[in-house]
Amino acid sequence: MKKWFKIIWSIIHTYEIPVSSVVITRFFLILFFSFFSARSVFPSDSISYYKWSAIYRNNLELYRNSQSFSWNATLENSHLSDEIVLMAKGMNIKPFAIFLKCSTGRKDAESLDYKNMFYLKQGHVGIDLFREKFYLKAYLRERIYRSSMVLLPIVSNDSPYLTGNAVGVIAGIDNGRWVDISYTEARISEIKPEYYNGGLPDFNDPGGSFRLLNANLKWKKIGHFGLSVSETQSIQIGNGVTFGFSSGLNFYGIRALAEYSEKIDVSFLELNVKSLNGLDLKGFGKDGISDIFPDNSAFSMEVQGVRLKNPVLGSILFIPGYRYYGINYSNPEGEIGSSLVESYILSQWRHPHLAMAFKVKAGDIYSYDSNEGYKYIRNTLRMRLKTGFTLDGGLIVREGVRSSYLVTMEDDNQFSRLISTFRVDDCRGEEKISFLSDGWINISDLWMLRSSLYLYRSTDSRYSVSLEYRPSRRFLFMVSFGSFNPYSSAIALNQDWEPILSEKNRRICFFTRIWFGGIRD
Amino acid sequence: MKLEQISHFCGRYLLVTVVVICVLVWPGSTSGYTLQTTMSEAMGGTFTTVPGEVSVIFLNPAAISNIDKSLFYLDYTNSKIREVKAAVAVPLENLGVGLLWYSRSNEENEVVDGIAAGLSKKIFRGTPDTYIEVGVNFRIERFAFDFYSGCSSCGQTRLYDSDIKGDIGIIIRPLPLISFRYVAEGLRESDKLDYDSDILGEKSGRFGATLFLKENLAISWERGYRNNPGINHYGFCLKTGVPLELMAGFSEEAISGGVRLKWGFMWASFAFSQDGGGDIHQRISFEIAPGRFSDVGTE
Repeated sequence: MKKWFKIIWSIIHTYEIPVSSVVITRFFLILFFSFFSARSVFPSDSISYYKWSAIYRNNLELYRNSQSFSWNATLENSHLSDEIVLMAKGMNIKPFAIFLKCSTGRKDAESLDYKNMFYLKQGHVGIDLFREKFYLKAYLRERIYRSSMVLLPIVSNDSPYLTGNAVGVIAGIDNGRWVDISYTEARISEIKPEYYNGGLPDFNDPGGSFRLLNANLKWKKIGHFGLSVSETQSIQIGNGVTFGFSSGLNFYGIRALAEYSEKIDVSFLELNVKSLNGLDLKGFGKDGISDIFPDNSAFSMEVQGVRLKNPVLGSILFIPGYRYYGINYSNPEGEIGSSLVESYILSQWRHPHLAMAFKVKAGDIYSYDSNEGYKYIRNTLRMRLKTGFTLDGGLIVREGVRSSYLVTMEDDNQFSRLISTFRVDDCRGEEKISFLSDGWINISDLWMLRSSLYLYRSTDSRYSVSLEYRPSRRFLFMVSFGSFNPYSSAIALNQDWEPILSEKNRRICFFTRIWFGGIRD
Repeated sequence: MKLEQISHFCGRYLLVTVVVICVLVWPGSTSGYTLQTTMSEAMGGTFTTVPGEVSVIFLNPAAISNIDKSLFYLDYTNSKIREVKAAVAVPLENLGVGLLWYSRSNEENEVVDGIAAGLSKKIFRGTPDTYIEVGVNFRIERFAFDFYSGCSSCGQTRLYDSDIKGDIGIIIRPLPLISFRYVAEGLRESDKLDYDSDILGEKSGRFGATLFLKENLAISWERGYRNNPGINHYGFCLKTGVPLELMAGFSEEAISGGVRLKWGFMWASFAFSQDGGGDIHQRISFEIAPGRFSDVGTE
């Protein structure tokens, strides 16, 4: 297989001959349209056809260097990147599925490989047999959803193996009733840019590999039992095998979930039966239930669906839960890292007539890393009024530190939307204020104004203002300036224990997008 | 002389006076204490004149004639500089008359007290929500501070000094969609109150514009010439579907925000803004109008 790949690769590699982007672009445009004129191959009465799209994107960023205005961008700090994206998707070609997304254009000047080239940016090829009971799919740089375990995901949907510069294969059997078995294999090139090999994956120098086998047995009305085994080989996060067991039981609308996972830092071939530690039932009762779990394991359980109903008072939902992450358990693929033990109960009250919900989560948590334990209560009250105004009030009470409280006000109508969140945290004995104002307004049918203002713990500020011109859904022009990019920065004020400070990036940005065809990007 | 004649007289000479002074003092370029109100602080210091906003009479005397009902305004902040402000404004025909009082102090026990009388007139009315307003304030300001003579037996002496100042302002709203404004503060140059204190205001000039969109959003920009090369302020105020307004703004990469609750005849506002060194200014204010004034078509 590798041999064939090398041969194909050597052919494609010839595209690195220094020709201008115009030539390359024209060539591939012709190739693209020639290829998709192949739709004429299908008879006129065939329901199979191809959808295609062409997108031109141009992004010019000018970095500013002083603390405030004026417009002090310099040409040395300007970055231009543009691309033509060509997409094609087969429609009604069952049992097959194909999607290809190619790109050409100037890439980011920050990269060492600044050049014009054409490459395969994203795509998949698949087949579904036996009324989709058996499927096989090869994917490149696509977001894949593979998490069969709910409480302890072996791999998260945001894992680089399933979203980033990765290539992989998925195969599975799902009869829709009682069995679901799937296999996923992914390789990632973490070092080289996505267009390094003409967009094709570099099997010779992978940044890491990931394999996952899921097997689930389901009984619709009774419950399910699942087994997961994954192997990760990575220079960054090391080698390891992760086992996962999940079970669920349903009775009278109540669902009990329990999941157990164990991480062993060896490769799959070195694994034997003794590698698994398993539960130490003799340790039960020494210092709570957590003593029965080995340090390299994680356990989580939840009971869902316990509900009290009253026609006047409304319904109250209770979700008790427990989770244990051992001190030597680390599963970055599943975004489970911190070592802790926590027991909690989540209750949610909904009023039958008023648009009001009250949610309380109370728990007791102990962190092995910081060697501290505390009790906490997190509650939120959400009220939605008919005028489009929503008020959220939240309180985070944590043992040992002062309470954090937050208020979110959201105004939403057909012309504008604004969310203002105000949060006060205890920071080494001082009260610190965080504030986020994020919203947009349609100035007219064509113009839209957006703004994001963020204050982090009374000390750091970020802002971004952008103006969008959208005469039709096929054309977009946007100019923005500010000290951060709100679209790429995660700001979590409502949920997290602590607010997050995004990276400062003073810039002025001009963005244009022209879209033709029938596939949305 | 009838009130109408007074109004006509004031309007004619106010316009001439304001235009001449605006040209002469454009722009001011000194530093000193930046006067703020709750609304202006919430909107990034834009000193804006959004519909229904009354506190702006502290910042631009031309806005006094916006009111159509008598009202009382109280503003308080307790940050490094403690400040209390109060105002009474009364509409008279096309005129607006206001009486203002303010007091601020810092950690060095320095105090500035001031009382001001303001007069404003809407000198031109076009189609609905288009007008030109001019206004003027006369202020008497007193500065109190502790003086150390150097003599150990003498101790410290409390000294007082006072001065008369003036502010002028103009608001031009050529279209319901947009308004422009200019204000010059502390016009009269004097060797009095020439102290190095962070609570003393000095001569300055500000100009800006406000864009009114969809009847519920005001976006404001202002440029203040307190320090060279001038500082830009940006802010907005959004009327929500409930009697609540949300505000936010930024200036010099410092964020500010606030809310205003409109509850019957009393409006309450809260604002905060970021200061250097991790400090946060907080400010509250109340506006009480026994006969609630209309916020439509005013600025």
